[in-house]
Amino acid sequence: MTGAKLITGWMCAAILSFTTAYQSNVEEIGITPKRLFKIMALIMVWMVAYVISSRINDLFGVSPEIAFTALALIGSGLLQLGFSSQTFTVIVGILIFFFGFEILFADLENSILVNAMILAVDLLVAFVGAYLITITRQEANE
Amino acid sequence: MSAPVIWIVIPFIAALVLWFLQDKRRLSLLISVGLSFLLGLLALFQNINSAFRIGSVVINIPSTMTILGRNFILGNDDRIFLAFIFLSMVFWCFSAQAVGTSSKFIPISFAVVSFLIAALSVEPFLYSAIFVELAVIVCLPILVKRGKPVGKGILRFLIFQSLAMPFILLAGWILSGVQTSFSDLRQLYLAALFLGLGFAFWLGIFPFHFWIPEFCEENDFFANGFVLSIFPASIILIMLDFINGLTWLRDSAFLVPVLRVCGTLMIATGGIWAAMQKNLRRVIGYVAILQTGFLLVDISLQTELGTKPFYFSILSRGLEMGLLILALKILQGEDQEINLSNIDGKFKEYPLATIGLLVGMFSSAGLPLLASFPSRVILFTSLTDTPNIIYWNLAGCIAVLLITCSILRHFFGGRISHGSLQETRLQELLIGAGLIIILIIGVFPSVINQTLWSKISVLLTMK
Repeated sequence: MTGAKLITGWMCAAILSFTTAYQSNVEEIGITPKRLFKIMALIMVWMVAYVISSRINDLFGVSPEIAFTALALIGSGLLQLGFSSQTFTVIVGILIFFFGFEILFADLENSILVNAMILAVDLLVAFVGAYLITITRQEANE
Repeated sequence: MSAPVIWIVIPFIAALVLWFLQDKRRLSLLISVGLSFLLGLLALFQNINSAFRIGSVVINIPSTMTILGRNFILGNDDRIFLAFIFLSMVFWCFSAQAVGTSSKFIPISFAVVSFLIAALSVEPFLYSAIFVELAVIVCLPILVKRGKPVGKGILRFLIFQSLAMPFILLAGWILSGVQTSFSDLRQLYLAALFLGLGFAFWLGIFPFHFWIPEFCEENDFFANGFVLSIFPASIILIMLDFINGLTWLRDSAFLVPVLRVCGTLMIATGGIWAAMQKNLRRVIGYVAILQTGFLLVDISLQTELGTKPFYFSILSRGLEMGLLILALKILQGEDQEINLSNIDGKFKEYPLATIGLLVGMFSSAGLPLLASFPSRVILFTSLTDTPNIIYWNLAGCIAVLLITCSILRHFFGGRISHGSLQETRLQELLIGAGLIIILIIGVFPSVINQTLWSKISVLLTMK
């Protein structure tokens, strides 16, 4: 199942990479106050994830390393969703959130069907994200 | 041929077929309307777990379909929902033709309906979360327009609906573990919390409801309206299924107050915020919040008396939302904005659409002689032990009445339009049919209550 998740992640990245041609925004280079704030927020989220990972261990019986990784990804995804209103970054945020949850859930639920369906949802999110980016940018680029 | 094949697989196949018939709009309309009507009638009149006879051909309709060890079960108690959803699809397909919306609308709406019914019927129930997420993802292409940026409302819709899936899956996992022993109260409360959060995200329950007005404001209002009409009704029925299946949750002390307070907050905030809006599309968004709030308060009654207003509210909500969305889409025409300032004197050009919008709004506010009034009377009579809830619910309704009066003043006042009639025959027919049904339910509540309720109550007790 781990291999399937890895390949799904690659496929999602590949699907979304095709839309980079449609990205009109050029990111600022260097450390801007906005970027600094995001980095600080991310560090805080990861610290909170580290602190509560032992509690998750008590509740669900997953190892603290897995709980930390999952919570750090979930927190990062939520942070991304909170900060951005661009289609591409929102889709990436949702995928990060889902991948974090899947790390936790794969340790809890052994059913291959459930995990496979969640992976299908990941792929569909990436597909629809790519569709939304291309269809809404098509005319602007033409 | 099992019931899930008829009401899940066939609509999904139809969606695939209709996708390739997008260019032939008339044929696509004919197939979609015919199939929806047939499936709706079949749900109304054909018992599940019995034989269906056409001449000498006998087809058994079992309730269960098994795929990879997972069951999809559609029983007789689901037939009301099936009939409601497929008969409303008849309206949506006709309306899509009447307002000339995207050709993708019909195939995608069928796929969405198919996924939502799958979510309602699948067991174990944690798969529901995945099917609802699939429905959300599938409906996105009809919510955007080529060359127009994806708005914040649509992105927030996607975010909030997606956030629900992990919570429901985790709740499902916890519940599957504790079903053998209910001694671990901490796990049960955690499951209840996750379920609550999941449903709050799905339904846009307070405080996760702020995306709804923004969502209504963006891109194709007709498609957004379809999503706002179909999703909450389906998800609330899935929620009801969950609550009924989990005895400890149904009997818990916190369920009724939580539903009642959340519902009342949605009614009050939805109504009051609607009254402050100038953009009519946002007004409809807030009215949708108010109507979902009423459904939650209906569920909180938890008695047979509560089931009655709930089913009538679902019916009247479907009618009102359909009428409001169609009327507003007709009034909007090609413009993106439809504000109080640019509807002055529209009555002369769009007489039936303006009446449809006003009647839909008045009915949503619970005005006598209209569709929502009978269910509101039953609800308020049942809530006499909690007068504060009634006061706040009434405040929401009064606020909707105020904004409706303001819209009315603008429709009939301002500059006098000398334009000719702009409505097509199909638009007039659909609005007229909606108006007649809303008036019949409101004017003859006891007749409708008796005939409809006798049918619903029989189906709900059938196995």
